[in-house]
Amino acid sequence: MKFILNREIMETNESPSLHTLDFLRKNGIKGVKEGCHEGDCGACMVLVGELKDDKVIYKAINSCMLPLGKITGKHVVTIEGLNLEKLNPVQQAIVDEGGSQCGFCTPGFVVALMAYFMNENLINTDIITAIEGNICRCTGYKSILRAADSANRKIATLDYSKGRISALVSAEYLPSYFLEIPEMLKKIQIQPKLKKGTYIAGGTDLFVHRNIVIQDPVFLSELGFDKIWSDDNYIFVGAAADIESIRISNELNTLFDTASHLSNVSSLPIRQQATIGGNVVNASPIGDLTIYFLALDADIGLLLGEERRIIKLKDLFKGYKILDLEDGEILEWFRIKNEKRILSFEKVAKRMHMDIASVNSAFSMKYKDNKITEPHLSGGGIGPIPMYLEKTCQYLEDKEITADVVKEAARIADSEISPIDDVRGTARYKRLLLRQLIYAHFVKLVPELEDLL
Amino acid sequence: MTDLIPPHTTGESVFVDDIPEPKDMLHTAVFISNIPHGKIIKLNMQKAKASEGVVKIITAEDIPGENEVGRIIQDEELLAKDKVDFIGQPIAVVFAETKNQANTARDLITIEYEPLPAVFDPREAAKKGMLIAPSRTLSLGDIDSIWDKCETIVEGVAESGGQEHIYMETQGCLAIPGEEGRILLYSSTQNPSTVQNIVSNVIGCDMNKIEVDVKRLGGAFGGKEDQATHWAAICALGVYHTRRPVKLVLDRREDITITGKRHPYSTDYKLGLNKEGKILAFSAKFYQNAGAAADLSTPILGRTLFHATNAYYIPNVRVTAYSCKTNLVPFTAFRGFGGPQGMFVIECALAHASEKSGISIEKLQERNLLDEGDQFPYGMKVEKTQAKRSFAEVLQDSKFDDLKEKQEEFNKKNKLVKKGFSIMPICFGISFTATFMNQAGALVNVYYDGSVNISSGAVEMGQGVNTKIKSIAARTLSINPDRIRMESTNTGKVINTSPTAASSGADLNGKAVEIACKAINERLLNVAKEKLGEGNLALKDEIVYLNDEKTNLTWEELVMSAYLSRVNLSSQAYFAMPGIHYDAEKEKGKPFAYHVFGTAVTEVTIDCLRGTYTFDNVYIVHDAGKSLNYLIDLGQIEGGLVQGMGWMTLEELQYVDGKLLTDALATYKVPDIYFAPKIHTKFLEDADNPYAVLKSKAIGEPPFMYGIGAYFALKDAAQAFRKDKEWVYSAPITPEKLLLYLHEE
Repeated sequence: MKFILNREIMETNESPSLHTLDFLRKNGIKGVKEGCHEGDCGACMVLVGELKDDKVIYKAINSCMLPLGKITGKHVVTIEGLNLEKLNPVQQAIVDEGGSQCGFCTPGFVVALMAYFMNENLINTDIITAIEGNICRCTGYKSILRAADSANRKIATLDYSKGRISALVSAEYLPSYFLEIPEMLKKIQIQPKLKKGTYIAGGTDLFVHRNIVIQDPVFLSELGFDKIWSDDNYIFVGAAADIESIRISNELNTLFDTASHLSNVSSLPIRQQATIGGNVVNASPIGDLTIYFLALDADIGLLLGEERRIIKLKDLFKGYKILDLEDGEILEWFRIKNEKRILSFEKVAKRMHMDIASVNSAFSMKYKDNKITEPHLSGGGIGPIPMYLEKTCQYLEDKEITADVVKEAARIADSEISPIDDVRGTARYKRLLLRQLIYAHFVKLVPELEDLL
Repeated sequence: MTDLIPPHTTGESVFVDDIPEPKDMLHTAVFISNIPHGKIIKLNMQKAKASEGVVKIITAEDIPGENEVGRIIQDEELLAKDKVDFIGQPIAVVFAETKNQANTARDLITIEYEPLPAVFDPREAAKKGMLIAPSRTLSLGDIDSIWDKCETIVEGVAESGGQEHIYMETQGCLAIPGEEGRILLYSSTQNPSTVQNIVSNVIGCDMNKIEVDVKRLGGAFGGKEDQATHWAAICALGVYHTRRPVKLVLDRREDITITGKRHPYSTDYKLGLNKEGKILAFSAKFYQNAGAAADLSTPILGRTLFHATNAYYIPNVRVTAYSCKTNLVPFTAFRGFGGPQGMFVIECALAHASEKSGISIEKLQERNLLDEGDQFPYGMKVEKTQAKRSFAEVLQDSKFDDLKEKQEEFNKKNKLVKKGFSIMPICFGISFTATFMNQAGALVNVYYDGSVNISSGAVEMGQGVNTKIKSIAARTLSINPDRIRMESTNTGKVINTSPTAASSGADLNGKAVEIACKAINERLLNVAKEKLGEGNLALKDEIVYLNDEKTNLTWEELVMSAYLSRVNLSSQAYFAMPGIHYDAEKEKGKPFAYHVFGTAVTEVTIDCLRGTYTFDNVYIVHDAGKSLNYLIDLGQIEGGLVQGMGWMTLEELQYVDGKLLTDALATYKVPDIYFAPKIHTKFLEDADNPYAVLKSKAIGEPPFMYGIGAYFALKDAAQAFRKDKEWVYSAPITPEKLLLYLHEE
């Protein structure tokens, strides 16, 4: 395996499933901190730069869940690789605003903020998004946000006509070696091939496990399974498409408010790693993307060798973590009808951001002549599998939206589910919450309902 | 601000786990109990011992000194010998060549228990007489005869949950063997001298053989006051048995599982008002869930009592507290040290009394705020109170009347979204309540090139104490702070230190440093007198002034002259906070040097459909005395507030049969960046404090208690949606609790 670590090309024989964080710290890169080793704090944030059309696109990624195999042929940047003779504007702003107290989380914040400034795709994103995956226990975040805003004001005045990296290097905000990285990366590119082994999508659930060793991992995102495309009839989402790409994809946002719907799924760095396929195949009863696509009545394409079969997503789940999937079969893509529908997504977790839902639910329908047609309602956290609420859908077909109908739908949904008490909430809370989220789907559509429910 | 540790932003700051590892260092894995209470029947370590890379496995039998880590009450074994008392209790320790090998071997250890009945509820423990120490009671006035005179009396139960520290750096230690059995410990502790003392007891050697060095902590919040000791002692035992360096850094799940947290409390309260809303009487019984061993539970209990009346004067008080022994991990210090748990209850009682009497909560609070000279139940009279002033100013700054008016309009207009407000005044006593601990030492060394090194007893953990001390030294020596380097906190340089806790770090150690610097100044000016002659000599900005006239004598030249004249350029100093005392028998005295005041107004918006909430604004007027450093104090206020809000809302310890389910950041949710509200902070002006260094006030803990306002703002909003249901005073209010309140029959 070859990759660039900060200024130098690294070659290693370590297992491709070794966590990058552990590799870095073992090799004396100590600016990368271990806060949780589960992707929940951002203390281990690194930049990963990937060569795309002669340019290197940098993203902030939690190195604790990043297997070495996924950085092959890429540029990994730690805080050490960002340091210059003097503090860069982000570092200086953090000092000036008192944005660092104990200092343990600080390198992670600096890296996450630098990713924001280095990645032009984030230009329309609020800067708070860049650090939504970072936890600080000391400051209460306000000083960090003041620092981020202040750095943003300073950096925004740069001339980006030659690209962001070049602008940042010219202003001496970024070490000049970044200019040589594209050429260096070209030399270490290898064309990955689909081979036998353990197929891994984003790995953001798998690599929560410490010391996990996986024989012959095959990283699907490197193999072209990450595309999103459409034709006249369908929108296709490759199983290894990451959640952030899905969230901001033109294809989906033409039809739905997907960018806003999925904004409170995990954090930006995790959304850039986690994939829809992983979310579904992991078979968590609470996967946000699963619930979302269930309500879009998605089909999935499954590939075994050359053989492809297409089934309904809702038919994939057979029981708790049991899937209708053959040994060696690969989830290739999702497809939904390329047509306008009304779509609502609701998620309530203990913390509104970067948290797993207590209950989530999605609902889509067509609405003609005051009547519901083709309704699809899903819910997570309310049974052993991500649930497609079949009976409720049947009931809603052809109904007018009235308070009584909505209440009855919620009542039927309640009869379809079997939540349990767990760390995400009591069963009694989850039942109540699903009812409320079903109400929410309809209240958003017909605000007058709020007086009736 | 240029003196805020720049290495933090470059990743160069070294924490325990970042220290370059000595070549032959061993790694450690701790085998813990997985039942809450039971006798150990058999420990099987054969397979583990044979496992690859294992150098040594130790149990209680292998402790050469005392198997004891309790500081105040000796009731806590380092390694469980015959019996376990909570899930997560260390039983055996594996030392191996690599961390993976240590973990693998640890997982091969098996154990058989005879389970014993376990108790998790403090009230049940109290009923069974399972107390850590005898109960304590503070009283004032004549409570028994006053109830008849009250117009309104409310009684009820208030509960507050525990809180996990989530210092970003987990607990850990690196131990290095030295000559003649000496051990050097790089420990992530707020309390180097206690680590030194307990480790020497465990090893069975004199304290002078153990050196503890602390550069900085990645956060602590009280969690590393008494509970860093265990990991240091375990590493020291590894060194003792192997004579090799040993490291143990807990991973996050281990840390959350094995280490203590803020104490949960369940409390009965009774409060009586007269017609005008004056509080005539308050009584309470606090049941503190101490966990399985004393740790710091008893002084924490004391502070709960001291703060039971918060910022209010109540003429008749009787408050009793029980420290109850349960089969949970020993609970420990956490910012506020029992104070928040006390203040929460009186605020619940007032909210309850407001509902019953119909007098608005803000009027009730205002009418009872402390006046100059009012007495606390512990006998001390309040001096230089800022309670009423901060309260009035924050109402003015937040335009509170307008806010309330707009709230009413908003709530009328919106059926499913409601706004709520609260006011949270605080009064927090500064000093260790154990009077003897209010002492500090410092060592100031001036090298003959004019550079300065300072050692103090204070541990830097993000609170900025080193920056404050540096600025105290720079001001006292009248030199540029860039000349000064803060040394690590080391038991060889400053001895018998009190923990850096109780918000006292800068007060005590800053004063000791100031005294040391003054001594050096005096010596230097004597040298200047030799050179320049008699007159009014002073150092200003690194230049000697004679009779207010600038001379050519610079700091560097003066220092060199002093050295050549054989003048001591090293100064050790000591400070003991004067004027404080406490009679534990009578429960009366002056336990605090002074109090910190302030008031917060909190605004929340709740989504009644989904049971979620957003805190919009918090307005604070805070009494920082004459702030030593605005940016640091602001950071403590904002950070303390948000941490306090977390305690009241998201942060929930969920147990099943004594097993903590919320043992990771995936399940234990601390505030994230979106959770933090807009915070509008104003420091009280003209609030010089005569009782602390350079007229400042301690800052660390008090702002935490502004967070209690989050609870009452949520209550206000929830009751705007629903009034027909009785409010249960139980924190935290998670989205689950809120939704159930709003919608369940």
